[in-house]
Amino acid sequence: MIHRRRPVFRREAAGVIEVNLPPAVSDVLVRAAEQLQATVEVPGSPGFARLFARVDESTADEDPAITLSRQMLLDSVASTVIGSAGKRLITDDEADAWLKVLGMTLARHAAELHVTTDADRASLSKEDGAMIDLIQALQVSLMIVLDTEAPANR
Amino acid sequence: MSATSTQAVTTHVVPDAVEISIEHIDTARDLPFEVLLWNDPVTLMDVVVRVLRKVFGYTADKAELLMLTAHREGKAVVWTGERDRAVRYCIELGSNGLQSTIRRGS
Repeated sequence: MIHRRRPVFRREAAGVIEVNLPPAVSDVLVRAAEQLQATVEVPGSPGFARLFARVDESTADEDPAITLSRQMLLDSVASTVIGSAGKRLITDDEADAWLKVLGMTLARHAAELHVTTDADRASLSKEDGAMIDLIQALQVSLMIVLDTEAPANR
Repeated sequence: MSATSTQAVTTHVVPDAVEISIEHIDTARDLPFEVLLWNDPVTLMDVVVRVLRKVFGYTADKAELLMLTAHREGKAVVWTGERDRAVRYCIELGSNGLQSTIRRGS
């Protein structure tokens, strides 16, 4: 006999999600957010180049206001994740910030590992591949719960 | 009655015409820009579809079609319109980990 495993995310009520992440996975989330914030400080890194790649191809130089907006947005969602990663209940807005951090982390991670093709992805080490798998699994779980309506009688 | 009618027409039509003309001149640089979504090998298709639906308000079918276009052809034009909105959309897509750029429409 086995215990029925609790889902890592469960819709608790309208706008509220219950979180049952193992502490180690919460730590991964916090580290991911911190690494994103640190990426902003390293303009020469592949991660920076990927996250802040030029938006406007029609101008010679990127408008600094665009880069600043992106950095502020990144910092905002990363801070939300760091502040909510240990909670048992999170709001939909916090879950949305988690999704954003996971998406940007995946992009940053792929850039740091020089993954630009499906073949690159397939040839990653077991450890790097497992990290990408974990991030993708969290994304899927979060998307499912965010798109789930609140139970009627609770 | 006839004079009153003429005056009424003048006060409503002329200011509108002038306003449209000024707006047209001011936004000459904002004539259609395209938001290009670029394929990448790590972002899940479901994630891309969800982000496109959320950011642009597209139907699931339209978002999926655009995602598949980017996946197969390397990029897809996901929105066309004025520059400032195109930039905002790019920033929003980027905050979800998707790579996008803008360019003048052809």
